[in-house]
Amino acid sequence: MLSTARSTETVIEAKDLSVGYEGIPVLTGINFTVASGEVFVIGGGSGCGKSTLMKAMITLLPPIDGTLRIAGHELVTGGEAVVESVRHSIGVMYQGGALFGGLTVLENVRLAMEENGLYTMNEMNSLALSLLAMVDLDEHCNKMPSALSGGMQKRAAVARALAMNPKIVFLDEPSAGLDPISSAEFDQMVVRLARSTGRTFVVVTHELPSIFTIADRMVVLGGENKTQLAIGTPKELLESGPTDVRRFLARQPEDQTLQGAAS
Amino acid sequence: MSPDMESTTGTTVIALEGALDDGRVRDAWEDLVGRARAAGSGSVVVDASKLQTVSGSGLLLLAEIRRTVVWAGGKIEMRGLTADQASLVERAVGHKPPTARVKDSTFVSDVGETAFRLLHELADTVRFIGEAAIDLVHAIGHPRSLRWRDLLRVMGQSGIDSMPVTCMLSGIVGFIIAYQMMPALDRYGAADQTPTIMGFAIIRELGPLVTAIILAGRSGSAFAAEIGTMKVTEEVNALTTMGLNPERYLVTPRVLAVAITTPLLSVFASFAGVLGGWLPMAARGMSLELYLQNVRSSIDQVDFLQGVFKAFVFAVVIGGIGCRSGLKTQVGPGAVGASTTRAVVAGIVAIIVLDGVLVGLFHTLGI
Ligand SMILES: Nc1ncnc2c1ncn2[C@@H]1O[C@H](COP(=O)(O)OP(=O)(O)O)[C@@H](O)[C@H]1O
Ligand SMILES: [Mg+2]
Repeated sequence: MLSTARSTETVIEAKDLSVGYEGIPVLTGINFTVASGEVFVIGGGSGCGKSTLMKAMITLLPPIDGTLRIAGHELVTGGEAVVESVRHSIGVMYQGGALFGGLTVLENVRLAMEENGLYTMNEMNSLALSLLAMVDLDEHCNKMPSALSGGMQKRAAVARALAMNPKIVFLDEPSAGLDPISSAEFDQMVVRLARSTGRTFVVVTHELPSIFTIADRMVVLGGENKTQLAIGTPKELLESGPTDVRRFLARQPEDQTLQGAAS
Repeated sequence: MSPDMESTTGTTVIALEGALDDGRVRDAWEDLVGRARAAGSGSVVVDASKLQTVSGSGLLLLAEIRRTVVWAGGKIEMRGLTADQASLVERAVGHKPPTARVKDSTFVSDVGETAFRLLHELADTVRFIGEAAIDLVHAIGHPRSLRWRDLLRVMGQSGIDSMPVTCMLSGIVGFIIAYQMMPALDRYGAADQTPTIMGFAIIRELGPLVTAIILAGRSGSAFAAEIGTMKVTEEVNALTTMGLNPERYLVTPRVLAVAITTPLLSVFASFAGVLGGWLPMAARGMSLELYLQNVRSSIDQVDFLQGVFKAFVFAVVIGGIGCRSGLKTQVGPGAVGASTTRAVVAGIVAIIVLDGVLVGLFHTLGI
């Protein structure tokens, strides 16, 4: 699943990174880089800290220690000014979509552009419509989010995440709450978007079918020490990763280590 | 066989029975640890007295439950374990000591901590309301930046929709005050002073207060519930990472809406209260015209403006408190409900205390 024309620019870099809440680390010793245009998966059992790591990357949780560089901005020492710049470089799809209930699908996609004030209303509408067409929702643009299925809401949220032309798009648990078919369709869409837009996608998931469909490379979190167990392409990890990771990817339920990490 | 749980006032009880073997540990792990986590810093009782066998992984599960509660600063009690098992569970926790929140509480430290927390909370609320007020002024200067749709919707809900109940309650309060006052005034032959008293009491005090209490119950709670739900569904996070300031985006239109409608509503409520006070007088044959004339001659514009000003201040405070408790919503099943309750209680307490402060202030200023 490696993209053929991948640039070598690094858009995310984590070095000796610790993340957690109120100074108490949930994860330590995180080291990885993500290249521009890659689909990078953060995997691991539930409770291992995937969401925590993502929250740190999307500026919702200050990292505790180490280095975390997103689109060239260092977050550990950076402070507020850097946070602002990082937010301009990212788009996020939250787990349940997190569409604004009082706005139509189109208005949801348009919102950030409106606040930005760079475009006329006509320009914003046609931009939003073309984004919705990319996720196959242009026909539903005037519906309220509550009238859409879970999968459609997530797709609309992806369109919204793409609205401000972000360098990096983060997706939190795209498969959660979706039936296997919608989930597979969603994965196809991610692959298509990544190839066609050339954007970097960082996807948090523990769904093996998703991982093998979308991931160029992945990092697996977990273990007793709550750190990263391995990094590489899913194929590499399945063939020659550490035992725990191979078991995780081969879906062997009696794996004690990964379950021990599930809290 | 299946673990059952009940929550009695503040204590989460996790009762286990049968065999806690590997298979069951796997099935129940997330659920049980999740419930322990949901207890936050509350207290948890694990009742293992009906448990026949416990496997090694079962002990790990118990240790994880204990760790979760202890690390969250809660209290946990394990019943029915053998001494060996209990010691194992405790040592498993000690393996990775928490680096914070080690607490050694006594009555004095609890009182101190609570007082400190309340003060901190108060300071934070005042700061929040202050910021909301600044954003309000900013929004008035930059009307383009305002979410007009939210503003109009909330104005409709807090103004027009609240009108009937507010006027009705204020009318009843006016009636009761006049009715209760008359026998006392009769003793001095001063029942004809009732309109004067009604003018003062209702227009300066009770009209704005009744309006504010209903505002706290209707709009303060609605703000907390709406924003709290958005917090839980990560919509607040979505605003933040989109670079939109949730405080400005969500709070300003709501606080501005109630700041506009409440003073108006309070004028209507005061009028209804004054009218309510006429009813007992009418029974004694005083005409409405004469009654209103008396009321009018007893008060001046300053009294009237004082009432309107109070209503405005109450609205900003209640709106601010409602929005703040929505934004502070924690995770968990009861979180939005808790925020809503907090918004109403804190709102009502705040306006009554504030009313006292304002009375003192106006008195000092000689108004
Ligand atoms: N807001 C929070 N405060 C403190 N601890 C948290 C918070 N959210 C999650 N945690 C803890 O961090 C750990 C990792 O959680 P999370 O990142 O949500 O895992 P995942 O997304 O991999 O399922 C868990 O042990 C959880 O208890
Ligand atoms: Mg998660």
